[in-house]
Amino acid sequence: MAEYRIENLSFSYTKTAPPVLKNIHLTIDDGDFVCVVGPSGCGKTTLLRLLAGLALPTVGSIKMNGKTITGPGTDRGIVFQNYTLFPWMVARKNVEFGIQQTKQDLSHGEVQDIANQFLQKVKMEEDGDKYPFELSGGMRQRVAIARALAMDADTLLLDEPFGALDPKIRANLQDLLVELWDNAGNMRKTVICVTHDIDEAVRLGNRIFFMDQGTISNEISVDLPRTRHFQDPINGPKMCGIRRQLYALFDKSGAVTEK
Amino acid sequence: MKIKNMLIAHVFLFILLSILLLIPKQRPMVKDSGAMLVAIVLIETIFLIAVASNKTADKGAYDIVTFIWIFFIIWELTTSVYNIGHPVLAPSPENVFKVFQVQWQKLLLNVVYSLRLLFSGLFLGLTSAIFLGLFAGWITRLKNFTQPIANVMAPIPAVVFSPYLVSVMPSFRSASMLVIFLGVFWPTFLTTINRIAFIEPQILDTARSFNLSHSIMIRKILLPYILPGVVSGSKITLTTSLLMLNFAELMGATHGMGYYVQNSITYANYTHAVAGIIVIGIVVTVLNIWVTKIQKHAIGWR
Ligand SMILES: Nc1ncnc2c1ncn2[C@@H]1O[C@H](COP(=O)(O)OP(=O)(O)OP(=O)(O)O)[C@@H](O)[C@H]1O
Ligand SMILES: [Mg+2]
Repeated sequence: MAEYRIENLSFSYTKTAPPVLKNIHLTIDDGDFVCVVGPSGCGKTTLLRLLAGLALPTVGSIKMNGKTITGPGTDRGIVFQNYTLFPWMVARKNVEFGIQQTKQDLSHGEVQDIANQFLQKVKMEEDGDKYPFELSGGMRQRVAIARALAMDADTLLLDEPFGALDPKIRANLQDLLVELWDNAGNMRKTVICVTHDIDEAVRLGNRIFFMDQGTISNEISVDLPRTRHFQDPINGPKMCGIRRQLYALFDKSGAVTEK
Repeated sequence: MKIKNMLIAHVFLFILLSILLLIPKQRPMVKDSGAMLVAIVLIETIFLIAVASNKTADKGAYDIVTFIWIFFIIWELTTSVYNIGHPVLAPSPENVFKVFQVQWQKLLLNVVYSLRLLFSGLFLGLTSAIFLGLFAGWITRLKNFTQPIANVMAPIPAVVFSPYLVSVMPSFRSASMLVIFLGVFWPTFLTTINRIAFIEPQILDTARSFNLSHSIMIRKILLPYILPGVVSGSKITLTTSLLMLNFAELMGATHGMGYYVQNSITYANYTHAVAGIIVIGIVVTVLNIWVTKIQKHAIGWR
């Protein structure tokens, strides 16, 4: 289980630089699927790195299950847009490496079994012995997701995980991610996914945070069933409504959107 | 195409053998051609094996072997057959190859001696440069202090101060090892810290997110990350260290290939000198082939 409480959070990269994150308060509940959207440079990646413990707050605190985060931990799995796999390890080794760091008492055979199981879930078992450079962008992200899931971390932190992929593969992976998350029932992981893509946020999140200039300026709850499709006769119009809301927020923020 | 190349190579081989066996020699004191014939058979065998095992249609082997035959023909004609070249300065090929037969133990000993020196210097230089480079690259404070030194040291060839090292070090052997060591150490050290400085931030963030110990971080992440850089520079490193080695051996060694050649020249024994140079050529070629193999293996992930 993983719930987060962010209190009075500010962050700047250097002592003299203006803060990148300003005065953020928010709560993320266990099993939430949160999407963070906002114009480029507003601080999304920075927020995710703070949640990961890769950087520490300048002011305020982030608590995970009541404990202040003081550094990275294997209870949080991360997937970045690029270079998120270790290029010198084949896909399978990447997944195994993740498992080994979390569960050090497992035998090598057990580690292999788990790795296989998760490679199967993302339909990558056939290409498990290829190096990342031999895989397409979509395949790499699938392996990265398999690694994060196989670590069995309570939280998934995703930074534009499908950013570089074509729309069809992107939709497939979105569905896969939601399916894997949803199937866990009340054992669901907490997912925090940063994205540029408004449609992605609407399809994935049950909470969407809109971020602007270092603060969370709006939150939208999406209480719609899975899997969501814009063409859906019942839910589609509701999704379009949320999409319009988000576009309006982007417009107000004065930034140029991607679509 | 293949057949044509094969044919050309063997036409020249045929000419070479005819000259060697049929034309009377005008130069006196030419030894029997037995050793040379053995060498020719060896070259031909290696060539045929290379062609048979080479799946790619690489014409390099044909060209090289054809070139060798032509070179032998010219060499044989200008020395033994027509006695055009100076009999001392331009030794006959028969006599040169005879050296291999008569002196093979001595030659082998010198090769072993040289290689021992080369590998100890190379090994010490590479391992210490990688080891220290990993720490210096990872720990900012160490890097800030070592990088300027490395920047100064790396471009100065160790050859420049090797005469000084020879007089300072207790033995010649340790001095030449130090020359090779320095020639390898600084460039590798610099490559290592520079590569770590330019590691993709996302790879680093991903690695850190696993909360790795320093030991695993260095062994499992940084080391594999820098290795291709080191290995892709290893051809140059090898050439540098061979240069250092041969240079070091000219400065007062009592064994080694460089010494053998130098010593032969001192006594105006050019037959031995040429034989020595051929041996060095063979050793360098084998080392290069070997490094290429390692490179292919180590850079597989890029
Ligand atoms: N390592 C760093 N050092 C200094 N400033 C940084 C660093 N990384 C990011 N910044 C600054 O912090 C701000 C927020 O960056 P961040 O990467 O969090 O934005 P983002 O919302 O993820 O943008 P994008 O959508 O383009 O990825 C930017 O103004 C950026 O210039
Ligand atoms: Mg970003």
